[in-house]
Amino acid sequence: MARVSLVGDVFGAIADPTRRLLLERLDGKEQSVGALTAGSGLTTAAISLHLQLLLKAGLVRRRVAGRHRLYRLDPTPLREITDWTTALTGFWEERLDELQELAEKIDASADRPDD
Amino acid sequence: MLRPIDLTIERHIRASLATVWDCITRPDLIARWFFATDFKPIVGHRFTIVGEAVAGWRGWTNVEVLELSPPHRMVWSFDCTDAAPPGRVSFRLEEVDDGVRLRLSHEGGAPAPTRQLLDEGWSVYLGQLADLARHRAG
Repeated sequence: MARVSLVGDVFGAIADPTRRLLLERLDGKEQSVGALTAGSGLTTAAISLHLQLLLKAGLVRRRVAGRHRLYRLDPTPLREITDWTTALTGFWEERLDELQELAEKIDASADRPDD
Repeated sequence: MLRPIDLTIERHIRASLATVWDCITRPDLIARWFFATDFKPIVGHRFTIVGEAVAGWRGWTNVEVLELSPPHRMVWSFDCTDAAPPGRVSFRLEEVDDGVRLRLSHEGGAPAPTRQLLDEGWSVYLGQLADLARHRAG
């Protein structure tokens, strides 16, 4: 429902290399703006701005812990986009494996007089 | 025209053309690699495949035979999701030295989010995104 309207935001969010890097760093690890800024070569303000866009796209979640705001990845919007394509490819690959095996088995047994 | 989903899978099958054609057009053989269906090799024939719903599939697909050129080509209309118009699945068989080259294509419909992603040239990131999404699943 509401997620559908966020699709455009998701594309915008992942279009930027810095934000993709942030998503990777937030994968499985909750982090503060300070920790994300350290070693990034960017200012705290710039990192905060990127995080705002990721929040808006639904790709990260924020939690307040004392004086810190902690961010973590929420991959739900990514899953919705990618699942269908990968599932479809996997489906046909598996079916064609079976088809190939069946056809080759039929002809192999037909060729052998003993069978 | 660039289609949102244009998946082609190619297989080299060490069997005769007649056997491979039988496998994709005889219901008793279709059941052994695909699904048990009331398939008939007649243009316009409709059948439904039913299975267990999984991520990306609602558990049933409406199929219609659109084209049939024995023993080389068959095209199905493939309606497998509510989120997109029916796609086209084509089987192309070509006799080669020691067997058959099978090319399966699935073109057309994709749910809107996937379509938009592909339209914007993001196919390169699909794998990475899928990994990221899977890793944090649950």
